[in-house]
Amino acid sequence: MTLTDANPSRFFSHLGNIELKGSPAFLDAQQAYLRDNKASGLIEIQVNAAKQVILLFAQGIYAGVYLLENDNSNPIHLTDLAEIWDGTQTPIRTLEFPHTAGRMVWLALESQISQRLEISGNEEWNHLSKRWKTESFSGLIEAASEKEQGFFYIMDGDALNPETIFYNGQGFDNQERQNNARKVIVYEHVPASQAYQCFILRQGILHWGNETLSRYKALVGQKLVAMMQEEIKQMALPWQWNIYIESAVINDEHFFHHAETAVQAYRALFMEIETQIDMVIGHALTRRILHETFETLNKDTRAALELHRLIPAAFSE
Amino acid sequence: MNNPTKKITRPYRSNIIWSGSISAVMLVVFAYVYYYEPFSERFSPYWNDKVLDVLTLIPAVAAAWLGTLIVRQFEYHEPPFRVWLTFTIGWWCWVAGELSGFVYDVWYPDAYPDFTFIDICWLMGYFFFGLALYYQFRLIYNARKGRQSVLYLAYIGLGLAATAGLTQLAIYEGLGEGYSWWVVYLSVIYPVFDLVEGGAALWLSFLFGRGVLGRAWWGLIAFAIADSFNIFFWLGGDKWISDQAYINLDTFSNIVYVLGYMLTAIAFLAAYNLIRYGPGERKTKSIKQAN
Repeated sequence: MTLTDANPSRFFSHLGNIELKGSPAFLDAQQAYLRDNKASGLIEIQVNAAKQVILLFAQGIYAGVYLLENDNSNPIHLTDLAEIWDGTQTPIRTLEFPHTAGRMVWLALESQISQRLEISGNEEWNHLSKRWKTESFSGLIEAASEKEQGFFYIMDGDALNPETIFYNGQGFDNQERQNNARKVIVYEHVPASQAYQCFILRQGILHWGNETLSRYKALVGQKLVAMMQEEIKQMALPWQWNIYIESAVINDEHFFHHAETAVQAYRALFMEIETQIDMVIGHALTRRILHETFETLNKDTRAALELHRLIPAAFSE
Repeated sequence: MNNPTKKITRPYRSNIIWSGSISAVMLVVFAYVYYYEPFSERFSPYWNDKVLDVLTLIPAVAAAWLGTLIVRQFEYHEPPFRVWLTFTIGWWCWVAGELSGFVYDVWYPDAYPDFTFIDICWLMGYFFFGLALYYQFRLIYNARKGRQSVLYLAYIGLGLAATAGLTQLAIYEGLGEGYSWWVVYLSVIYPVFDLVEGGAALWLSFLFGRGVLGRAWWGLIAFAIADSFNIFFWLGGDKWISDQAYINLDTFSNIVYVLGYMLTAIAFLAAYNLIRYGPGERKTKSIKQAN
């Protein structure tokens, strides 16, 4: 199955369990399942051939409810569902996926489709990639072929590896395996949306944090970075944040359902990083590194972090 | 969701307390032996000197040995490896210098030759300390890889040339009368290196503040302070002050010299504890404080 009119399921159509005679009771059971398991996933209610409602879960919490109609995705309240769907039996599909996949689906749902493309093969795909690179394009891309379906984000012409997720029939992977014909959707983000706010905060924190860790590692060596790695792990444990450091690289696999929740986690992360670095190389050098690495962020990312006071002065003054 | 808490980590090990206490006792004993010379009366000035030499050698060996332990905590390819390796080689050079002093005391009981193996050890020590400082600054200022050693040798060349200029100035001012140019040059080079490297270490200490990995440089500051008194005396300062003031300043200078080794050894121990065992006790405070 592919992303076609014959199969109206928009996201990861290769995946999921479809209950053809879905009812409100079934919907409740599916919601309870995702909530209780703190899972990321979606429940897709096929209201009719042209209308779908998607309930998106971020680690067991509602990230949003969306009405998909005429190629548009609009956020609605859960209470509005009763007006759209009268409870008659209809196909309901439930998908559970990695948190990183959930973030990309959320970003797609809160963005506008700007382009639909049909790519015939590898050559055309390479040409398109080169064009994005030349134009320093930034945006979310959804690609679906016979065997794979997934998302990746291109920032200034380069695909971001942590923001790439593909379902290949067997499981999820952070790269696309096949290079054959595919349908491509190019999304344009809505800057005020929560999904984009979370995305840009995540990018800023990862870039800033990784630059900081790189400088710190150069000064103190791997062992002290490993020590910090352990401290971060202990810090994140009670909050069940899927944020960790591996080989001096920060990995954020958490699906925050709101920017403020993400800000709280990132603030705690940077406080721990600052505490560790301060203890080893002192306050002045810590401040210097935080400031210098913050300056390497691009304008938009820096503005997003500044908006939430995720700035060097908040951690080192 | 409650506020997450910020952990405050403090490296703490009982061996630091013990080392600090033993060092304090040794320093008091050193000051007493240096000032009152009890063994000169009981045995001879030679044995009084030997007691002082041993009390100096112990923290020197401790500093070099603990430095070696620090070096072993890094992989060869890691940038800090060469900082700590060259710094530790410097300390071993100075241990060799201190040990050579024992031998020369036996061979030359009255006066050492103009240029000795001890001088080679001190100069090699200065060379490696300078190299360690150079590598450390390059890491801090995120300097790109390049012809690092060549640049350092250029700095050394500049320092040696400046020392030659200062030697000429000293001779012109009548200092070092009756000594050859090379002996005066050697007398000038020690304070020049001490002050340059002490100044660089002071700069590093401002950058590192109370950071555990920056404390090892404090030893070089102590040596610079100790040597600044010697420069003062060499420039004729001893003639401007009373005999008692001279004795007090000289004793102070020698205490600070030994303190330099002790500070380095304890700082190395603290850094070793941190790298090997991680931080000690933890306390918590609210994340709100950072908002």
